[in-house]
Amino acid sequence: MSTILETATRILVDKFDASAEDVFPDAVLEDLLSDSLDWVEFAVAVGDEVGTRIRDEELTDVRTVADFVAVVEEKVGALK
Amino acid sequence: MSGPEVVVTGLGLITPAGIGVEENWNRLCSGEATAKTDPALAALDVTFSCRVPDFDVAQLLGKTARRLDRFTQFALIAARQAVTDARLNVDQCDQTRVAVVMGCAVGGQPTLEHQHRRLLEQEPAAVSPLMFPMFLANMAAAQISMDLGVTGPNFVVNTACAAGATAIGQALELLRSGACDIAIAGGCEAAITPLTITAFAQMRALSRRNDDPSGASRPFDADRGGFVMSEGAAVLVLERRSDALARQAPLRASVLGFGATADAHHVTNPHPEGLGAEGAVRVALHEGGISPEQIDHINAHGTGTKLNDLAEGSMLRRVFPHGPSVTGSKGVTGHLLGAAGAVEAAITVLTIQNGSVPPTANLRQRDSQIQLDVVARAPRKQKVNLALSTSFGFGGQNAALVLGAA
Repeated sequence: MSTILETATRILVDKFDASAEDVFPDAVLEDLLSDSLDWVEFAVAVGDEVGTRIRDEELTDVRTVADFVAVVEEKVGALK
Repeated sequence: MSGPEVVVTGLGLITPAGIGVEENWNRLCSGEATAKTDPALAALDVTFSCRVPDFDVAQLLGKTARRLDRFTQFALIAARQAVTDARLNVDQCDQTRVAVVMGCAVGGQPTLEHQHRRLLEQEPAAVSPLMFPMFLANMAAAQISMDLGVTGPNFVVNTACAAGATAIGQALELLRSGACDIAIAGGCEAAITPLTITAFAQMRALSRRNDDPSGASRPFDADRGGFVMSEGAAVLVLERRSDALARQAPLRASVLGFGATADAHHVTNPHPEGLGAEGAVRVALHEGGISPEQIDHINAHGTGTKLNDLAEGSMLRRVFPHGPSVTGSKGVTGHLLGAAGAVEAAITVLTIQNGSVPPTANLRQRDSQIQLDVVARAPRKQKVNLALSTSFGFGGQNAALVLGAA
């Protein structure tokens, strides 16, 4: 089973056309996504795959891929 | 004629009859209908439609495709084709003087239904933030402006199934008034969903010939029973003749007149004698300085519904008693709603250029109440100098275009 980092990386590359080499834990999401619409769309797409919903206000302090993964891991963990 | 002469210098077409002008023209001349059983409509009262053939959207549009509903994808594909066909290098134009006017009746219905389902079945955070940028009908023109980098007047008109013709008419006015130097104009639609099919079927507007889809769209035929839903886009590049000649652009046809009226009669039914439609036709002729007997050919709205074809047939017979040739393209293409008027204007341009009238598919026995010379079975060789294209929308909104040899 893929980790959330792997899932997020795959979606950034496949759906949002990020280069694989640009996607790593410390990469800044703003550099990988074209605008605020894509930010939310990315959260919706990851949520679809991992079975949770990430609300806009939960992304307020997210800056990097690792920040995002931490938010999702916490939510998925809370579901278990 | 009011104002400077306007010509068509480029065409783009993506319809169930094909992708590109040549594929469309060949299929229209073959008279072979495009309607087929549609797996997405299984279990509904109407189980068939006319779909654009499968294509690789990423190959045609690249990364931008992801953020576009299907109707806007069609608009962009047709616009790029038309600009290439017109040998127009947008980078060398004054981009502030290039207008985009598109017609669309419905817009991003598939996106709306998909996201609504997610809201109902899941929760608010499951709804895409791209819903509105994909769904809004005005995005057809907006996305073309972004794709081509043109910043002149930019809007989408909605006169239901007349929208594509209305858009070309508005583009003509922009060029004549001097509001732009080049107009990219047409129509687009991609609204075949279980909900729209069901709603049109409930109105008794659709053919229910589920066991014979290819025989379902039959304009002016005695055995017609409604229209067949279709999708696609057509885009024309329009310029003042003097500008087109100055840049040595290819001249496909001229746009001579446009007329627009309302029936003020009923939400869906046309006026039984086609009075509103007649008004649009007469205004278009007057604007072009053309008398009715000069018209050689008519590309009729011809939806294949009982009421439209009777009203239109009666009106055309009254205005054009000399009996110009008539064709109903929807027999092949189905009904592209807001794109139909633009597709049929493009087909009329090709009819003029090729000196050949495509046949009306499925016309086996003309309705005896419709006294028109409707071309059937095979293309008819005919020199066409002046032609009319008619388009009528729900709500009684009518549009007519007069086109001529370049």
